[in-house]
Amino acid sequence: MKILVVDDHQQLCRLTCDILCMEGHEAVPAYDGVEALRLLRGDNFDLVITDYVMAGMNGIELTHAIHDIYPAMPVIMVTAFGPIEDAHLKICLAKEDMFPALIDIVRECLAETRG
Amino acid sequence: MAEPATKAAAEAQPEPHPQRPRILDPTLHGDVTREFETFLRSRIVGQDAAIDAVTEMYQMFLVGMNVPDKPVGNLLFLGPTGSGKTYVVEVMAEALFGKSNAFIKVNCAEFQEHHEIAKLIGSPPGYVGHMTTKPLLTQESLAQYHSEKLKLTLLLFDEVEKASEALWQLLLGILDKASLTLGDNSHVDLSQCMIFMTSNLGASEMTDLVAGGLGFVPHVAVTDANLDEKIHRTALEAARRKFAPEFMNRLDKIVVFNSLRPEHLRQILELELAKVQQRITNAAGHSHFTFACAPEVKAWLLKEGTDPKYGARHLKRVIERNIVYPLANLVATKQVETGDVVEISVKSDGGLAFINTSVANSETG
Repeated sequence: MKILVVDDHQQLCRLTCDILCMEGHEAVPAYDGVEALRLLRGDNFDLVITDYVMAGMNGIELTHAIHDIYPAMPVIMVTAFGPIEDAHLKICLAKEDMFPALIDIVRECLAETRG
Repeated sequence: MAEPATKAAAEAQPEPHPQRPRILDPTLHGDVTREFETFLRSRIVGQDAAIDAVTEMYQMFLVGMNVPDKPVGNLLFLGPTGSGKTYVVEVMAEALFGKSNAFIKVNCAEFQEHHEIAKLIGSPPGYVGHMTTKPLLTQESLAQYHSEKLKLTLLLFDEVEKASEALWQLLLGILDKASLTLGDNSHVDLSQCMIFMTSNLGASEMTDLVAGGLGFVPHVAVTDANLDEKIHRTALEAARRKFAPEFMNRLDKIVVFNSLRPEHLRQILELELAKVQQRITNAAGHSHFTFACAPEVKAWLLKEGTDPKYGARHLKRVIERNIVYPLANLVATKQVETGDVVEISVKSDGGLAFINTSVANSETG
C-alpha cells in the first residue's frame, strides 16, 4: 500500500513514514498541501494521512482539493485540535492517540481497498 | 575484477628477496571484502560461521574465481527459527546495495502444489496464463539491483524443506547449471547469483540441546564446551534425513546457525535500540532528540521480545510498539522537542515511564 503522509512538522512526518514502512507499507512524506498535491498527481497512492493545522493550506482544504481530483481517495486526518467533522474524511484521529491507532486504521483501509 | 590488496597487508609484508621464496597468507581479505565483513560483523550477532561463509564466497566472486556456469555460491542455512538466517541475507543486501530488501525471496511454503511453479517461471504454452503470468525469476528481475560496479544477485529460497517436487527439480537445475527455462521457453542465466536456502530442520532437537535435558528433569541451560558441535551434528543429520543426496552434493556450504544465548540477545537489543536512535536522528536531521533506556527497561524488552523457541523474532516488534510508538506520540503532542533527552524507566505498575529530563534540568538550572 502506498501512503502519502502530509505534515509540516517534518520530524513527525518522517517518523510516521518510517513506522509505516516498518509495517510493510510504502510511505512518502510531504511537508505542505501544495507538495502533497504535486506528489499525488505524479504517482498512484492508496491513502493520504494529513495533519489538520499546517502553514498555507490546512488539512480540510487539502482533503477537498484531493477529492476534486481523486474523489475516492481515503483521507485520514490527525489533529491536536479535537475531532473535525467533515464528510470528506475517512476518519479523524487525535494526535495523542496516534500510535498504534493509526497502524490499525491503515490496516483496515488496506483491507477495504483489497475488498 | 581483481580486488586491491589491503594497504595494511602490503605494508606488513617485507620486501621480497630476489632469491628467497615469499611466504604468502591466503587468509587475508582485500579491502572491499574486509569492509563488507566489518559491516556484517557490526550487525550480526552470534553467527560467525555464517559471516565467514558469505565473506569467503564474496571474495571469490570479486576476484572472479567462482566456478563458471554455476551460481556464485549455493548455501544452505540451517538453524532454529529467530536465529537470523534470513537476517544475514538482509544485512548482506544492505552492505552491497544499500537496502535490506534488495534481494529476491522465494517463500517455498507458497509453492507446495505442483501448478504453483507457474508463479516462478510463468505458465507453459497451452496453459491458462501463458504470456500473461509474469514470472518472478526473469533475467530482468535478477538484474534489478545490479549496479555498474556490482553485478551480483542475492536469491533466497526460504523454508526450502516445504518446496513441492516441481520446485525441487527446478532448484536442482539452478544449483547445478545456473540455468532456468521459463514458461515462454526463454532462458535465465543465474551464474551471477548467490543462492541461499534456509531451513529449520532439526530446530526442536537443537533447542532441546541448548535448553537442557529431555523428559521430566528441569531444564537447565547447558554450558557444554562441545555444544556447538552437537548442534551442528544434529542439524546436519536432520538435513541428510530430509534432503536427497543429489541436493546435498550441489551445496557449496552448509551453515548451521547457533541458538541465540542470553548474551547474544542482549547485544541484539543494544543494536536494535541504536537503530531506533538512528531512525530518530535520520527523521529529524539536525533537530533530533535522544532517548536512553534504564537497565530494567532493557530487561523488560528482552523478556517480552525474546523466547528460547523463537529467538529474537519478536524483539523488533516489541521495541516498535513499546518504545517507537510512544516516542512518536510524544513528538506529535510536542512533549519532546529538539535537543531533549528522554529517559525511559519501568513504573511501579509494570508499564514504561517516559521522562523528559531536559525540562527538569532547564527548570532547576
